[in-house]
Amino acid sequence: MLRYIAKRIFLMIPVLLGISFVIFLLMYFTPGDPAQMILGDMADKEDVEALREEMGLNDGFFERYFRYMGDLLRGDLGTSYTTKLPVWDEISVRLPVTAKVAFFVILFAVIIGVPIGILSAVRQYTIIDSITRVLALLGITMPSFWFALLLVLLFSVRLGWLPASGLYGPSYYILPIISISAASIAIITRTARSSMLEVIRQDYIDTARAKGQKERVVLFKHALLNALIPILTVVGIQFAGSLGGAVVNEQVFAIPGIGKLMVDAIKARNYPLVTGSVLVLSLLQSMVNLFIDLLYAFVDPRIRSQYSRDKKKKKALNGAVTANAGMAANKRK
Amino acid sequence: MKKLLVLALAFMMLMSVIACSEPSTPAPENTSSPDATNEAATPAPDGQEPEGSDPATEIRKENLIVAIQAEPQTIDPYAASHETTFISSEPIFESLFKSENGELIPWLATGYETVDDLTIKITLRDDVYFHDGNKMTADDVVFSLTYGATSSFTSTLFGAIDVENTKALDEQTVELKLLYPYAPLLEGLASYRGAILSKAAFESMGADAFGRAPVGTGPMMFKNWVNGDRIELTAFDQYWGEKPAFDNVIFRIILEASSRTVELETGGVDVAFQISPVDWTRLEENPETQMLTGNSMSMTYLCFNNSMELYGNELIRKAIAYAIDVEAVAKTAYQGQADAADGFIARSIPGYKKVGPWEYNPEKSKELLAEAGYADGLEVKFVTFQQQYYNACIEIIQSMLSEVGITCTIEMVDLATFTSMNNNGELPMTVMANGSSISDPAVALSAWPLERTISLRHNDQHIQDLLDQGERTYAMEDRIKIYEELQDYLWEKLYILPLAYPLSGYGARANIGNFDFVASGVPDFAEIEFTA
Amino acid sequence: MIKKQAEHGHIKKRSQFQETWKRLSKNRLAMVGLAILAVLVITAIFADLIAPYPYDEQDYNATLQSPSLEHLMGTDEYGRDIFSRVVYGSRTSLYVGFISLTGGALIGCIFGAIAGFFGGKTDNIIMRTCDVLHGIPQIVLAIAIASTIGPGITSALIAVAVSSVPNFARVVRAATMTVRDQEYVEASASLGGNNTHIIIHHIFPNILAPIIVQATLGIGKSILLCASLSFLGLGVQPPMPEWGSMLSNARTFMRDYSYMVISPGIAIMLTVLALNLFGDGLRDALDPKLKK
Repeated sequence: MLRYIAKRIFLMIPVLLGISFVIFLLMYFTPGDPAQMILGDMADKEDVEALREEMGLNDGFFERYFRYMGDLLRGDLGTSYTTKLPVWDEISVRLPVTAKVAFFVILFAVIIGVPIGILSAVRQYTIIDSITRVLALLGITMPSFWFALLLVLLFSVRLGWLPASGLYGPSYYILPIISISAASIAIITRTARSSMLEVIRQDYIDTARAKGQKERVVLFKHALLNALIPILTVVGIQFAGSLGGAVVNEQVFAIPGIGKLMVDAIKARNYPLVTGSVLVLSLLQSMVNLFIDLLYAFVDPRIRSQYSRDKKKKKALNGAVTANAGMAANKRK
Repeated sequence: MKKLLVLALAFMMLMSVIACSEPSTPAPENTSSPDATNEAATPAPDGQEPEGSDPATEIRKENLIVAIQAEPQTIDPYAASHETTFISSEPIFESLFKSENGELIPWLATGYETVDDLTIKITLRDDVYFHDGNKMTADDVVFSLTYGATSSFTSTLFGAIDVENTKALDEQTVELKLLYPYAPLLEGLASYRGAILSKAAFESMGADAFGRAPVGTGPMMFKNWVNGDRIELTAFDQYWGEKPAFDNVIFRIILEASSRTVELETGGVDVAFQISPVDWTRLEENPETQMLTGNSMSMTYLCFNNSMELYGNELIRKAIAYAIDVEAVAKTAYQGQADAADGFIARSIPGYKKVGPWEYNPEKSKELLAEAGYADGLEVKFVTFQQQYYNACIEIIQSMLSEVGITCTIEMVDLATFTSMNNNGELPMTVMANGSSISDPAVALSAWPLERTISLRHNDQHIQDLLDQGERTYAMEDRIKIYEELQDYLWEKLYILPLAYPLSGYGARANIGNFDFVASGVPDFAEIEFTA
Repeated sequence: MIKKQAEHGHIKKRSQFQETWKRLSKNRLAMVGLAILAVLVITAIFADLIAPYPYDEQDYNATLQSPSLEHLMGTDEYGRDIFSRVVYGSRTSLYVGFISLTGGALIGCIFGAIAGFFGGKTDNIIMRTCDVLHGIPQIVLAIAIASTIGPGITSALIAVAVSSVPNFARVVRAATMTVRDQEYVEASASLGGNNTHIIIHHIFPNILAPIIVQATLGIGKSILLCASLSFLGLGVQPPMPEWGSMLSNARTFMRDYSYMVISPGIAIMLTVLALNLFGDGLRDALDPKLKK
């Protein structure tokens, strides 16, 4: 198991290298001059040129990239162009905010989504099922900022129950969590419903029922445990997604998260900050994925045994397991 | 199964109707809001303190919360040109003078004496301390003036200061030398851009760190900056003047215009900047909020790149201008909160002359096009970045131009690209605004000097001559004559087409008193009083 | 021999198509979705005939008008007819959706199939590349591309296409891996079919189902991404009508003129809803496990 974890962490390195390269390349071809952005419209040409030289912006792509990577190896993410603070300082302020919100979002989505999905599956074709499916579809189809604005107008302006923006206390989290989690809830509900339906049809469930076990035991012990893998997959995807994808909601709710930081950094051509925050975020997302994969093993003894088998076979099987989980997650009904 | 769809649609409509429809009577709002307001505001500490130590009926509050529209890059007023920098640095710094209704009031200075056209002697107060505990001396003033003269952001305003020869005569006296006579100087020194910084703090911290934690002499001192969220200032105990009616100022960064309005309505903030014009009436009618509006000092204009062959052609520029209904552009783009521009500087600025607005005459436009050899149609191009009002102007102009057979493409880029293109002279046409931080025609026309004309790129020495004359003439009547002549000339040449004088406005809670609209957009927070 | 085989494949494909259609047509929700999509496509094709006004015709005397007989969905802040803009907007949305997805799907499928078929080092390189693309948040990728080539429909297209590549690649790779070891593929290989032939003639037809499903659902996502980009100020170039940018531009007016956000909002939701219903139905219909 430990070897597996170590190997997975080791495998993250080339991916992170690739990400830094792609981001660096994108930023390299982006028009716009960070030096000009710092000095403003009215700056003298010579001043801008001098600053470009000082910032090393006149060097070739590979020179800059390798210099960046060299610094990175020494644990230095560079200095933000706009604030002149170390990139890590900026990220370390913003990341926890986003991570906290994302965690609550996913927690909320699981608490709401999974039971509703199960209920919907057990009561297939009833009115509960229909309503659930409609709401789930709505959650997926609504543009998120529209939903967020509607929530603010309803709960902050008209009813006056909840604060409209900022994150200064528990009540401030409610609206952002609801609006960001809408899509996740919908997707988790759908996945829970479909994978439960699939499992319920299996023979061993009938066997368990035939053995005279209580319906609740049948559902939660036998069915849910086996339906869990696709649900976990989706939860992982949603969690990773809400870490980086909540930019729009961060803007509506004035949340100082990392999504907004990245967007602003791109707009200001703040290359070190862009690269740094994408890297840190990707690392976090990879960690989440690893954690989810480890949960598979916890849930399913078959997968657990695969993790410790010999090298060659493991690779193939792992691929198959993930593939199956993915396919199942995509399935509905 | 269709009922699923029906249900879905019904739910959607219900949601939007509930949230969008405003309460028709203000009554329920009134009964429920005060509680809600308090509740909402408590986590961000906003509790009203009972009567302060003063025996007078002064109401004190712990926090004054101000919503600003973007995060400033720095709070050093010499190192940026963005409004948010000035708003957040205003309570931290003070200038040598204050300007009220054109009157110069000594502030950190006790007075000044004009020795000759190039020399001013300024005497300073001797009871002023910086937030770091150092006493303000002539050295700090000389340092600040030098900084202002050399920084690329303020050299338009203070570039005339002779850095070599400006010096401290003694601890309380500064001799300010100029390179050439410069009329707007005192007005500039009296604005928030002439802030006096602590030399010691600046030199020990370095420019970048100083911009993140500045040290001035103002009533509030810097306390904390939470990246992306807020900037906190707290009262400065050793402040020489009158203490403000609050202990802290918190600038909250709220990017979404509608969120700023909502925060103001629900009491989450006390003051909010950049309120969208559609919300003005709502805030005026709401008994809990007020709108402070008035003419700003900026002018929105259609900028031609005169260095390009096509737009350097006067016939083309005028053909385009005749095709544009300036009145309709101004009213529509700013949702009624702007006037059609009829001059090259804002109306409140001395030297303003009404020369327009440009006539809307599509027939004449077609004639001029034919005369220029484009009877069969002309293709023009706008480049713009994401600025709501500029884009609105351009979108309307695009539609107007199509009526006279001018095909207009709009290229939208982001601000960084726009800035680069602008500096490289690659913008064909765009819409931009010419703001002015002080009420002086020389500064309001700062886009025109030959060495600064990066966007409109005219090459007209006559303009430069008139500008030089205007800048170097001290007598106001003579100056005004020069600027009137200049504006007539600009109108004749039409290197740019003035479009709109936008009104500007910020909102405040109803209990904020002694807080007036200022045209510069940077109000004095320290004077705020709370009413019950 | 090959000819015969191809013929056989052809017949088999057709019957498979008919069978799928038969099952699909029994799924009423999917049919509703299909109907909405059909209406949408027809609207997009005949926009010129349906829309009462040109999408960019401004009328400064009729700005912000509530819905009326003259303007079915009211007018916007420039006095443009919202109904006409919604009608023309269907073109933009479908264009963005289909083009970006086809691009992403094509690249993703090719790489996924190659990775799944060959395995080993090739697989590893391709899948790690996908991890890299997947590791960059979609919205960040979109904004970076928009900054590079300028905001507008093309950058949204490219961003959606690029960020959907990993998903397609993964789905196709997994499907290819399962198909690869089937007997008929081995049979074809033993008969001397080269790799390209096997991939195109045997593997692709069999992994079509997950691709189509992924694509249908992806179009909806790309329409929503476009809306988010518009919100961040990186939408289409004016005056092109696009629902997402109509919605986000109208957000300042939504409290006084709610109709301005309702019609483009519902247009987006209906489209995404239809794509989801149809996609789900298609998945069920193509799912061999559900064959009775």
